[in-house]
Amino acid sequence: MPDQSAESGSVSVASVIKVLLSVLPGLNVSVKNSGNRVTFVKDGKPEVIDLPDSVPRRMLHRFSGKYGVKMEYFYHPEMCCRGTTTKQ
Amino acid sequence: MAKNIEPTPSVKHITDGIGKHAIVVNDLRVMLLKDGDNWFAQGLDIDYASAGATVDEAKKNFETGFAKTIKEYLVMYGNLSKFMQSAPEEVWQEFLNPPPETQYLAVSSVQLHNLVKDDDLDIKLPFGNIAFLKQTELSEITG
Repeated sequence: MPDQSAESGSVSVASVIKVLLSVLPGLNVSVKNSGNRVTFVKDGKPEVIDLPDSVPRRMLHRFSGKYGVKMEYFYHPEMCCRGTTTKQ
Repeated sequence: MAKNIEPTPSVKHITDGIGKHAIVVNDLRVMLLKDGDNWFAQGLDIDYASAGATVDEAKKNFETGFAKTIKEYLVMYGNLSKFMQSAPEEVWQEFLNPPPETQYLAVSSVQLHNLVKDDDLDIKLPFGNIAFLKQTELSEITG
C-alpha cells in the first residue's frame, strides 16, 4: 500500500530512499545515503541533499527530471523495489 | 529585512593548492515554493534544491546540502567549474510566474574547507547574510 499523503502528495523519506537506491544504479547514477542525507553522482556531478521526513512532490519531480526516476515509483515503491531494503 | 541594493550573484573560490579552500558565496537567488504541507527551495543562479516541512527546515537543508555539495566538487575536481550551472528553463519560467506564497532569498556565505584534515569547519559557519527580497525587487533586478 502506498504511503503517500493524500493531502500533500508527499512521500515518506524511507520510501523515497528505497526507490532511489533501487533504481538509480540502473540509470548510471551513483547513490548512497546516510540517514536522510542522499549523495548522488551523475555524469561526474555530485549532489548532496538532506531530505525531510516527508518529501514533497516538487523534490520527487526534480529527481524524476534530473535522474530519470519514474514518479510513480515513489508513490508505489512495490512496483520497483520488491525485496530490497533501505541502507542506513 | 529586504535589501535595497541589487544583488550580484557570484561564487568565488580561493585555494592554497594543497587542500585548503575558501568559498565566498554572494547573493545567490533562491526561490521558496509552498508544496502541499512542505516547502521547496530552488536555487536560480545555481541549480541546487532542497525541501523541508517548514521554511526554516528548507533553508537549513539548503545551507547544509549546498555546502556538502560544494565540498564534493572540491574533493572530486579541486574546483567548482562544473558546479556553476544555472537552474533549468522551467524553473525560470516559474520564477517569472510564481505561484501564491512564493518567497525569495538571497543567500550568502563563507565556507572554509580543509580537505587535508577533512574537517567540517565549513558546515558550522552559518549563512550570515540571508535576506528576503520582495518579488517586485527581484523583478526589477531581472528586468
